[in-house]
Amino acid sequence: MNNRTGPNVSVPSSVRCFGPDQFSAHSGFGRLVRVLSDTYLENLKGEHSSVEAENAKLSDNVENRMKGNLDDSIRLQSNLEGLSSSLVFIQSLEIEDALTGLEVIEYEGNQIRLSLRTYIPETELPEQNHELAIDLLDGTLELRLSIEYEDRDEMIVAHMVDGVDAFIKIYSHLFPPEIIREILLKVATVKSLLRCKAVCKDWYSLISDQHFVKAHYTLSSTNINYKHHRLIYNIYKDDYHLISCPLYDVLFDGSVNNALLLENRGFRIVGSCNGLTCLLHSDNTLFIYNPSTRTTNVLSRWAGWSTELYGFGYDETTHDYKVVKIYPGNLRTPYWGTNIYSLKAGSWKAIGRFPFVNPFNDAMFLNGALHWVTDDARDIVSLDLGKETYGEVLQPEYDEGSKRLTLGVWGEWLCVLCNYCESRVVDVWVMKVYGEKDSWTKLLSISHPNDRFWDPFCRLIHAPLCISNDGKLLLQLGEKLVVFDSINGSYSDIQIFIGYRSTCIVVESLISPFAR
Amino acid sequence: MSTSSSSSKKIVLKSADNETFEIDEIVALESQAIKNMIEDECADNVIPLGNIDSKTLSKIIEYCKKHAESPKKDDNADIDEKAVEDLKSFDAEFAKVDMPLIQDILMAANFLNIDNLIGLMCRTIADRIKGKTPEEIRKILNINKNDLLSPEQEAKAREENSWAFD
Repeated sequence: MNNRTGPNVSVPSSVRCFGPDQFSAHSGFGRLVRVLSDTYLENLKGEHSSVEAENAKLSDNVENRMKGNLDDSIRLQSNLEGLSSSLVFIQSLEIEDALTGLEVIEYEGNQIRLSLRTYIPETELPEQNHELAIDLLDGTLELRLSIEYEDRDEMIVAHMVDGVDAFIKIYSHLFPPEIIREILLKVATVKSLLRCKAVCKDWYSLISDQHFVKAHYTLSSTNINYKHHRLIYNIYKDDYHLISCPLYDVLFDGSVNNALLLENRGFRIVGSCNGLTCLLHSDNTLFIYNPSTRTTNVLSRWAGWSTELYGFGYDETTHDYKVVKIYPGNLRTPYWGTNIYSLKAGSWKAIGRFPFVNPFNDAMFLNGALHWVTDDARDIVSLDLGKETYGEVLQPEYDEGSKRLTLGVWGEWLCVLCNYCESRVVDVWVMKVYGEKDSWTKLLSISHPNDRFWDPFCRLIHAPLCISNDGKLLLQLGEKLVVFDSINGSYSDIQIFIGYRSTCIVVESLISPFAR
Repeated sequence: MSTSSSSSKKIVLKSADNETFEIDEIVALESQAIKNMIEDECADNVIPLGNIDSKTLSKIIEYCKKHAESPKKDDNADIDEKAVEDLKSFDAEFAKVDMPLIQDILMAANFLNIDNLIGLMCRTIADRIKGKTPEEIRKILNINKNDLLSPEQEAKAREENSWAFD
């Protein structure tokens, strides 16, 4: 403990030493030597006594330390006893433990939760993660031990001597799969779910499972607050921007403040379905893109015409996504040709010609079919994606006068905006039962707002985007995005998009843009 | 525990640690499992619940009492807005407990088949893991490390959606 070997006495530096033969050489000198050596001896004595005092002090110290050590070891002994009684307590639960890696998980009020790793013999997995929760209830100590085991789900209850019950709850991944599924469906946001995929094996396979993906989509698309709907739009402002923003903000706050830049390349939004969008790049490359998972499938190129029109939808009969392209004929035939791309086949093929002369815009997908409208406002053409055959949708009786129609889809309704160019009125029609002419209902008429974005020649594109449960209509009117409140007839401008190109509404989904 | 009139029928639930809880039948009927037992007349006066401890059971009874007392949506078309709000805030308060207890309640609610409570607990867990990293989620739910993806699989899962981990 103390490594000092004893006092180290040194000759005072003022004293010089001489050899013995020098002492007798001269008596006066010899006296001087004697005086000097007396002084030296005195010094030595003084030195000695101070060393003695120091030694005494040291031994006091040693004694004190020994006493301290004894106290310590008594304390340690009692600690040890405490520990071994704890050990007896744990052994009484028939667990032979070696506790390691103690960690505080949570400390709140009169409860502390600790996590510890325990060695348990006679199980396949020698090491287990445990959680020890200690509750202090009115001064009594309740111990709750939660221990994970594989393939067991019972609870052990130990009744302790002084009325304390100890529970051993076995909970490793205790939830049955349907409960995990329920929890993950409620996690809901795609970003969080993608993170959850990395949590463990079961979660990875569950979130990847097609049934889960579908159930998640259904829940998201039916959320009454549009919490998982996004408005995707394409705008040119100094540069191309493909932007996504929460539909909720647009409808209820009139803002696009939480917009997110997805891409800064030039795209036309061809259409959307099941949370996927179909985008056309300016170099004629087609993409199937999921803006929620940000995964992209680049489709094989098809060198084509600049005036092609497209459609994108899902064929439930073959569980296949399809992209349809229609393109103008030549001098001999005024009819447009049709090519159809199957995501499963990964290739294009030609089908019959488009039945009317002047299709007008990219198709809207509803009820397993794509829908175009002709620019003379006479016909709505449908293409059944399963049968790959054309048909016609019967329309309501519009008013007389020059008009232009644009199509939209609101939930299960096909929607038509009928824009009367001369009377400056837009009628909003919906077909409440698909395919039934009598079910067409005029929801409302909107008078043209008096501003520069209205063109008397019907050149600007107006599109119905969304109708909310409380009667708010989100419309694209030329280069403006407006919310029209059908209850009180008021407009609110969301944003003026100079260079505004195309837009769609997409539900957040995990659906893959690749063929399964 | 009961505050209702003494004439109503009582059911006694017994927890794993042998504590008994006497409750009104109407409260017990919140549990589809107990309801089935009573309807099939295979329930004695005392229903033993060998896998639910008393702490969890008392929480569940607290929930069922509140929900049994609240007017049901299909009872009355113009349901009191205040009652709905009241039940909502009760649920929010009820869920403010630690994770082990939430898990216990969820397991018990699943066993007893109490739909609303299962939903509430699932939503609570979902809210607590939303936006968290995989490591944090594992810790919150005490997920066994033997259940994890292999390092290669996990790296791939992160790589596939790297933007989601920013």
